[in-house]
Amino acid sequence: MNIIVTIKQVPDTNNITIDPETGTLNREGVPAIINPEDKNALEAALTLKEKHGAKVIVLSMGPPQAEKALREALAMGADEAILLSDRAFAGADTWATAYTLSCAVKKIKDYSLIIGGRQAIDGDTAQTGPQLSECLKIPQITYVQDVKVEGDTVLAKSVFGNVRRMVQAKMPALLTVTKEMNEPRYSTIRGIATAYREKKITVWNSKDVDAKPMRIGLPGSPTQVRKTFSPKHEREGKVFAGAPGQLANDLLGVLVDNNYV
Amino acid sequence: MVWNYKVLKSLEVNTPVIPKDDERIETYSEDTMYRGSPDAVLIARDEREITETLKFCNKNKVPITFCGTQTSMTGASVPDEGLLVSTELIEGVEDIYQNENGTFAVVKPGTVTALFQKEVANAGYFYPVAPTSRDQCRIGSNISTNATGEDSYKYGPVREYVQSIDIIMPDGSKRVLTREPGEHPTWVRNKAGYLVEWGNPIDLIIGSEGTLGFISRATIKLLPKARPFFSALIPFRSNWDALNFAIDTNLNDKDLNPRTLELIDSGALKLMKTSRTFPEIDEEIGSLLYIKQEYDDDEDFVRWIEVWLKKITHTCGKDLADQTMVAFTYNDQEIFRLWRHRIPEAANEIGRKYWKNAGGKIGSDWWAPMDKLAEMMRHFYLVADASGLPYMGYAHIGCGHPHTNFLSQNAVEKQKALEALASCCRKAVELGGGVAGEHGIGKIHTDLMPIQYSHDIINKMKAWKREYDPNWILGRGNIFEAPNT
Ligand SMILES: Cc1cc2nc3c(=O)[nH]c(=O)nc-3n(C[C@H](O)[C@H](O)[C@H](O)COP(=O)(O)OP(=O)(O)OC[C@H]3O[C@@H](n4cnc5c(N)ncnc54)[C@H](O)[C@@H]3O)c2cc1C
Repeated sequence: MNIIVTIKQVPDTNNITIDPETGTLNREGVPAIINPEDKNALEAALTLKEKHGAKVIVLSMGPPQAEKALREALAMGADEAILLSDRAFAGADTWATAYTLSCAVKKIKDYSLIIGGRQAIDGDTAQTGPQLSECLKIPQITYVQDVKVEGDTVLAKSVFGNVRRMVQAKMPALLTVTKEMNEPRYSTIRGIATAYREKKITVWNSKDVDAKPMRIGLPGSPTQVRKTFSPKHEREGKVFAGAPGQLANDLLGVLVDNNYV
Repeated sequence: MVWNYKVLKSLEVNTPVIPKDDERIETYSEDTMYRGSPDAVLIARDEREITETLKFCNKNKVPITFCGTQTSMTGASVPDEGLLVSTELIEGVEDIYQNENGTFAVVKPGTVTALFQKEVANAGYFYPVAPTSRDQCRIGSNISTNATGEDSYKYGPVREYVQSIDIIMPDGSKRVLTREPGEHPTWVRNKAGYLVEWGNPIDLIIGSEGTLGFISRATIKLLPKARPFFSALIPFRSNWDALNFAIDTNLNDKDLNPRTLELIDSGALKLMKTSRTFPEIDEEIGSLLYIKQEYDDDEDFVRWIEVWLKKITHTCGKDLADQTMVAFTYNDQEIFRLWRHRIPEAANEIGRKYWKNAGGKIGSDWWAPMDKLAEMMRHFYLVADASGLPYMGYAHIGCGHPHTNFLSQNAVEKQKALEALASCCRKAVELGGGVAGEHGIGKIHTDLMPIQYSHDIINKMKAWKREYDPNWILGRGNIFEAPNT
């Protein structure tokens, strides 16, 4: 079984600010990391590999620097890494990205599962995964928190808000996973040594994957961003009054009502 | 030295003083290890208020204790009597400048260490002394305790970086103490009382636990921008395997100069595992070493990975080497750091639960020279096993300074723990080390001073104390028992 894991290198939003004037991310000096939920996707793939035996291929579209993220994935235990890098890919929205990834997946050809993170922390769209499955015309299960492979089907627990569903799909299928799925493993020292010294990263450009020029990069991107802004958190304060016992009760009531406890 | 707490009512500063019967005082009444009893608390706003308060207290012989965040592990920041002055509002970096001697930051004493580090990093520099408590503790206190941090294996204690300090004396006068260019202070981990061999008075103040004057400003030497590093947790089967690895690295492997070389022995590992995010690890793993290794670029990174991998495989075998976890992104490194932080945090939590039965955590702070560390640790594990109490050893093993803790549930157990501690302190001194390598003496370890110092030396220290603070009002009860009133 081959499992493809799509990963994106993103700026670490823990260390990022938004320029209040232009509304764009201040990227300078911000460390680049593997998008956190893509790490959960990789962990899911590696766990399946340990259980069923599989080859895990990580696939990323990005500039040459994204190699670092792929190396980290190799150090965690991925078997192969493919970087889609070409100036022509630049400026891609999620639709063009999904199309480009689908071209690479078609070239890989033999796969049972594609697993990706639900969404990337630098865009928060949660679109690329589902769009990729549309391009490939394969079933998709999103917001996955648990997964089982049985024969040629995949059974996944999908959680969205208060709704939990068990969804079964015939493979090949695409899953997007959330951070609740697992705790990604840490790289081991030997994993890193092997990732850097023994494993190779294959780089493909638009011609290698036979992508149509009008469907990639800026020309292939129908999305128009009209405005970006920092989300404002409308915080609501609430003051409780009363005796300590009553206060504790009131507070607990609110926590219960909001499903926190 | 009689004084009457009612006199505090006539202290005239702009900020209202929190009186003893105000419930807010509770927050200021204990540190991690000790419960005191301040008669009033002043959260001072500026240097002027401190000066006025000092003059007032000196005139009226009111004991005055300073505190930052009260993360002291010795009771040093909690008074048994008198006024407590918090520096929490006197914070901020005033200036970062360069001259022919280097780059320096001028900082106010209440600045939280981690924020200071962040601010100098944003300006393109590096301040390397990061106590595990760096998100809470403050620079003035770090100087007052000559703090060390995770990275002191490579970078040494605060003392190394203090270029100049302003101190306000009990009579309200101000002194500026500065290092000569090229002056290199000692890195010895000794924090028991005052530095006996001080040449420059700045070295007398550093580590004096708030007993000689108020540090109102510090000029800190900065290093060039920090190099990237990776952290690793190296697994071992036993405490001894980890120890031997650390000792060998320090004494024989001069090529390896990690930032950090810390032990997490089997007792400490149990507590580390209580961290929510700690992964499941192989049961045969009995202890860990926590290291941080710096590098220049990708090639250098891989080179260091291979150097460590070779050494680990050679000493621990392939099986364990393969389980060495590495963090090389900031987020993962922070997670490792928090796991490490979990050890003292969990030990303190457990210890405090036993306070009500007169038990608690008994922590050691002794240190031994590296070439005597094996003998020292043998002694510790013997004494610890004999005590029958839960115990652990962790932290700065690469500097000969592990923290060892006993958890005692009641007064009888506590007594046993204290005896074990005293025995280890005597051994450490016998081997050429000392009784306090990090946290100082404070109020709870004054009994350890005579283990390390002769009567003459202690008297010499007391004479320095009287010279700076004739009325013995500052940090009363710290380092030396409070004089008879
Ligand atoms: C979980 C934990 C981890 C720790 N890790 C480390 C570590 O890795 N390395 C280490 O060295 N320590 C460590 N400590 C101990 C402690 O954090 C340090 O001693 C620190 O320097 C205290 O900072 P603080 O702001 O909390 O000071 P406080 O505890 O409030 O005060 C400490 C001392 O400084 C004096 N003081 C404060 N401000 C001034 C001033 N302006 N002028 C004169 N005297 C002053 C006080 O009187 C007191 O004697 C740790 C503590 C905890 C709880």
